Amino acid sequence: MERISTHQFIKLAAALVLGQSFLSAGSLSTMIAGRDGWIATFLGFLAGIPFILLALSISFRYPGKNFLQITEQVLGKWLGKIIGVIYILLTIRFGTLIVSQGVDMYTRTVLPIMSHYVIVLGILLIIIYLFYSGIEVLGRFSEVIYPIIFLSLIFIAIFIFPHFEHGELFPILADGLVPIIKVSVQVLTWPLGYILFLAGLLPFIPREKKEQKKMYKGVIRAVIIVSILSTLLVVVQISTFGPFEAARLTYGLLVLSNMVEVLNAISGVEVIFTLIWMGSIVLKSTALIFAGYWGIQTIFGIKGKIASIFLCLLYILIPIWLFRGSALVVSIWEMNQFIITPFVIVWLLILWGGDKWKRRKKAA
Amino acid sequence: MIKMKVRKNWLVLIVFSLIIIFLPGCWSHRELHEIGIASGIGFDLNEEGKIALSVQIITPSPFSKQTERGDRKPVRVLTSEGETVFDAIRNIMAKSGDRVFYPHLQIIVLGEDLAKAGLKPVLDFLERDPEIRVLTWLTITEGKAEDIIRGRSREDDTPATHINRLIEDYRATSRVTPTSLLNYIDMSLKEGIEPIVGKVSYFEEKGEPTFFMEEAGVFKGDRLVGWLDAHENRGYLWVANKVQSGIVVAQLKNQDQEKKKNISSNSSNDFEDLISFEILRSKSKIKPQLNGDELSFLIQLDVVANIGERMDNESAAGKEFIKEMEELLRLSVEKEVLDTLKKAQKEFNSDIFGLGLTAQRKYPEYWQEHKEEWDEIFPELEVELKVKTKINAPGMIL
Repeated sequence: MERISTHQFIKLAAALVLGQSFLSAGSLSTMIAGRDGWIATFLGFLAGIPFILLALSISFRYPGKNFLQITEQVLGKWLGKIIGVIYILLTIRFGTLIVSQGVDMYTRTVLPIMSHYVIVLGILLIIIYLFYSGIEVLGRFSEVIYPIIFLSLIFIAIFIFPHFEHGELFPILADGLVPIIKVSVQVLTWPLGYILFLAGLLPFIPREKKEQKKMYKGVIRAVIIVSILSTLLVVVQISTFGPFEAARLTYGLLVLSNMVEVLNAISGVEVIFTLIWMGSIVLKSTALIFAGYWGIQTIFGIKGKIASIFLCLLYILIPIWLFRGSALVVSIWEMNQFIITPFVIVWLLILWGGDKWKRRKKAA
Repeated sequence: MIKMKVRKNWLVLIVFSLIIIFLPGCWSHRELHEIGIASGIGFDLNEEGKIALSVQIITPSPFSKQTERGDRKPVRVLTSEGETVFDAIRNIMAKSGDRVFYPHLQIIVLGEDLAKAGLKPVLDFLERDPEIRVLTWLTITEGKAEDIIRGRSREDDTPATHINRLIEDYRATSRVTPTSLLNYIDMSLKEGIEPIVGKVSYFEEKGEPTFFMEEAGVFKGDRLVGWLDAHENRGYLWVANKVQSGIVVAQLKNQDQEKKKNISSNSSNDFEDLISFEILRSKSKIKPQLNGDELSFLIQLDVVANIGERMDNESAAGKEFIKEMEELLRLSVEKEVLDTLKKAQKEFNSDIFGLGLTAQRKYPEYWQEHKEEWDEIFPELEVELKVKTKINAPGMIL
C-alpha cells in the first residue's frame, strides 16, 4: 500500500487547510464582521485545531482504517453506510465547487471571454493526472506547490504595504463579539473541510508512535501558520480597500495582485498569481477526488477504474454545467455554512462518543 | 507487458503533440493593430441626460508616423453616448472598429455636470470591470471631460501620459490632490469622510496647449459641491498628510514692523519682502477630544523646511532670525489650513478631512449616536490647530 511521509502529511495538511480559502476570505469575513474580520479569521482557523486533533486521535486507535470503516465498526453497518453515502456526496459536491471556483476566478478576471470548457478541461487534466499518479505524488506536489503559494501571498502583502492605511483596522470590536463569532463559525469550515480528506487519508499515514507525536505537533503548527497567513491577508485587504470595499470585492486578493508594482518595472502580473493559486485549487480538488474515491471503495466496494472514471466524469460535467457566476459563491458559502460544518462536527462527536462508550462497555 | 508500455508511450506522445499544437496559441487573441489601447477616458452628462463618453486611444507608433495620406496623430479621440456607462463603452465600438482595451488607462476624467449629478452610477462599472485598474488616477474638470480628453500636449505624444505625470509629480508642489479610483471609492463608502478629487484644466497659453493641475473638487456624498483653489488645496493636503515638498512663499512684511526693520532694513519694495520656504517633510495628526457630549478636534502639524530664497538678498543666519522664520512659516501654514477648514465647514459642509472618521475610530459609541446628525455637527465643530515648524538650513549662503 502506498504511504506518505510525516513531512508530506504535514505539508498536505497546511496546503489543504489553507486550500483556496485565501481567495474569498477577505470578502467573507468583512461582509459580516467588517473591520474585525481579521480577528474572526484568526479565531476560526484556530478553532479547527481541536477537531483535527480529535480526528487524528480517533484514527490512531484504529490503525490502517479510514474513518468510514471506523464508523461502520463503531456505529454499526447501516449507520456507517448512511454516513458514508453523505460523505461521498459531500466530497463530490465540494470538490466540483472548488474546481468551479477556479474557473470562476479565471473567467472573472484574466480570461473573461475564454470558453469555460477549456478552463475546466485544462484544470481537470492536471487533477486527473495527479489522481491517477496516486496519493504519494499528491504529497510531493503539495511539498512543491505549498511554499510557492505561501511565498506568493507574502510577496503581495509586502508589495501592497505602500497602499496601507493603518487606521482602517480601528475601532476594534466596535460591533461587539457577535459578528466575530458568526464569521469564525464560517471560517471554521476551512479546517473542517480538511477533515473530509483526512477521513479517507488515514490508512496512508505513518502508524509508528513516534511519528504520531510528530503528526500532532506538525498539524498544530501547520494550522497556526495558515491562520496567521490568512489573517495577514485579511488585514492587508482591510487596510488597503477599507472594510466596505473589501466586502464588495469577490476576489479581493486578485485585485491586490493587480495592484502590485515593483520599482516601476513589474506591474499587472496578476496572471502569474492566478496561475500559482490555481495550484491550491488543483491540490484541494484532487484531495477531494481521492476522498470520494476512497468513500466509494469503502461503502460500495467498487474498486479501480470504474470508480475513478465515474468520479472523473462527474468532476468534468458538474463544473461545466452546474456552477457558474455569482450563484457559485453563494453555493460555496451555503455548502460551508450549512452542510460541511454541522456534518463534520456531528460525525466526529458521535464517533468519539461511540468509541468511548464501546471501550467502556468492553472494559466493564 | 511490453505492448502495454508501447501503448502508454503512444498515448503520452499523442497528448503532448496535442498540447504543443494548442498551447502556443492564445484563445481569443488579438493582434496589437486590432485593439485600441485607451490611455484616457472622460465621462460627461449630455443635454439629454445620457452618459457621454470620450476615449483617448493610442495609435501604435508605426501607424502614427507620417504616411502618404498626411500626418497621423499619436492618439485619436472617439466619443459615444449611452443610457449607462457600459452601454456608452460598447457604443464606441461602432466608431472604432477596434476593441477598445482599458488595462493601460492612465486617467479617468469626470465632467462637472456629471459630478454635480452624482458619480455613484458611473463608479459601479469602473469597479466591476476587470480591465480597469483601481489605481488609475481620477480627475475632475470644470466644464466637459471631453475637452481634456481632446486636449493636445507638447510634453508627451499621449496627453493622458502628460496628465498622469502631472499627478504623479504632485510632490514637487503639493498643490495637486492625487486621487486614484480606489481612493475615491474608499472615501465614498466610508462614514465620516467625504471625497476630494484633483482638478485638471486645459487651455491655450500664447497659442500653445497647456494642461494645468493645481486645484481640487470637493464632494458631498457622490456629488460635486465646490472647488478648492491651489492655496486651499494645499491646506487640505497638509492635514491629509500628503505634503511631501513644495514652496511656501511668505512676506517678511507681515512680521512685526520692528522685527521687519531688523530683518530687512534694506528692502526697497514689496517684491523684496518675499521669502521662499522649501518644504522638506510634514506630518499631521488629527486628535478628536470628547468632553462630555462636546466633540472637538486638535490638528497637529509638524513641518520641516529649508530657506530656499530670500528676495531681499539679506543674510539668513542667526538663531533669532531662524526662530522668526519658523514663526513666519507657521503662520503661513496655519492660514492655508484654516482657510480650507473654514471653506469645508461653512461653505461646503463637507468633511474632506475625515474628522468624522477619526471620531468614529476613537469614540465609536459617540459616532453611533451622532452619525445621523453629523451634517449639523460638522460645520460647528471647534478645531484647534497646532503647527510646529522647524527650519533646517538656509541654503548655500548665510
